[in-house]
Amino acid sequence: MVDRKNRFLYMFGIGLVISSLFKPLFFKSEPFFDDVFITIIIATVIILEGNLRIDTWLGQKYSWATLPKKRVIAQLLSLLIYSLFLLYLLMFVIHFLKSGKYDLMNPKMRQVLIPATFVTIAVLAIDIGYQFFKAWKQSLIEVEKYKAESANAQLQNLKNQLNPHFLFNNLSVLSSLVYQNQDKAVDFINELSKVYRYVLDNKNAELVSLQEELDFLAHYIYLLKIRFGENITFDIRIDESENSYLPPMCLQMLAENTIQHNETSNANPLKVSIFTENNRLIVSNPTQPRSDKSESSRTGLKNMKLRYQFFIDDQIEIIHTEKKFTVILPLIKKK
Amino acid sequence: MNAVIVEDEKLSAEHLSLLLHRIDKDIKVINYFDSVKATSKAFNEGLQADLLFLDIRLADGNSFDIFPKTKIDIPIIFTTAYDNYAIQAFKQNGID
Repeated sequence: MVDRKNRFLYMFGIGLVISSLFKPLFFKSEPFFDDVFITIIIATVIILEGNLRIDTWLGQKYSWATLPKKRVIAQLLSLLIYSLFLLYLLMFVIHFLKSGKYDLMNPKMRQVLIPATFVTIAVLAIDIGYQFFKAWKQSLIEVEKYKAESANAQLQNLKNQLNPHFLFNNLSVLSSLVYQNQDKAVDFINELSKVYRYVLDNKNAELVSLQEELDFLAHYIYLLKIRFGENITFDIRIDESENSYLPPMCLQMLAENTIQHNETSNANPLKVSIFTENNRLIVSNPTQPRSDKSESSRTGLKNMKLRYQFFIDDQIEIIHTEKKFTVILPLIKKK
Repeated sequence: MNAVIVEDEKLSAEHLSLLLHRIDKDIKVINYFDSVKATSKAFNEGLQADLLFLDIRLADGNSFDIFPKTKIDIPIIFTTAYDNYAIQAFKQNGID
């Protein structure tokens, strides 16, 4: 939609054209420029502006995409009645201006109003057809866009499902463990297999329960603790896990992110807090940046945001300060 | 021979030490470090060793960050799971 000033200029132009065409046609005898000429312009502007406003108002009430039938009928009736009524009023005013008489219906009115009705219906039909087509095209574009985004998110998700280094690192740890502590090595293999089992089981799941995610995280943390020992600790306090859902592997991805981006050394261990608050899951850690910046995680967070968009309007919040890095995940409730 | 192992995963460090011990009982691992900072600090304070095993991804950054701050003139063996670091290791005069 053009802005206000342009819109009025545009309508004024149309009024000028209509006035120049209709004036000589229906008021042959009078001079070209007079009060009637101006009245037609003003009426045209009012009719057009009113039409646009009704159109906008209807747009909020019935959208083309969801209530097309209601919209067609409402649009046709309201615009037809509004336009014809104003046209009639215009004729009435002109008649009054010229003759000084209050005539509810004179021959000229009939002469103008009947063709005007058909013209208005025709114009409205074209307009409705055009708008309908536009709305239909728009919805097609949106569907395509969502399809592409969904496919992309799924692909990213598959790619991110435990990055290849994860297996490599863990196998390398395992080969050390086998020498040093066979019992622990067996536990380690069990935990590693549980992690992969979860990934396979939930490959196509859209949402998983918070409890499932937490169980999975526990296995994942077991593996991390074997590798990093006391250099990383997780403080998990979950009060509300009933009927709370989230896209699979979000928690694991956030845990992995903290290691990717922060120092986890003997001298400077990393403490990650995971807790719930007001139907939100909060993952937070002090910012202790590594000297090398890895770039991978931004795509991870972006992808997570995208996955969330499919389920709720509530968005993931990321709060990054000098002291703290916090990710707030809304928990999704199933009806 | 005195060796230093720099590795952010304790198990890997222990494993490497075990392997070294098996190869030659005379190789003594005199120090373990897990971060850029700890390694830099130790060498800047005059740590003497004959050989350095250096993992590339450390607990607080990348081990290449050690070199601008610290002069290390003993042989270094880079140990890493990340093959894309190999080129950079060569540039730092590492030998494959």
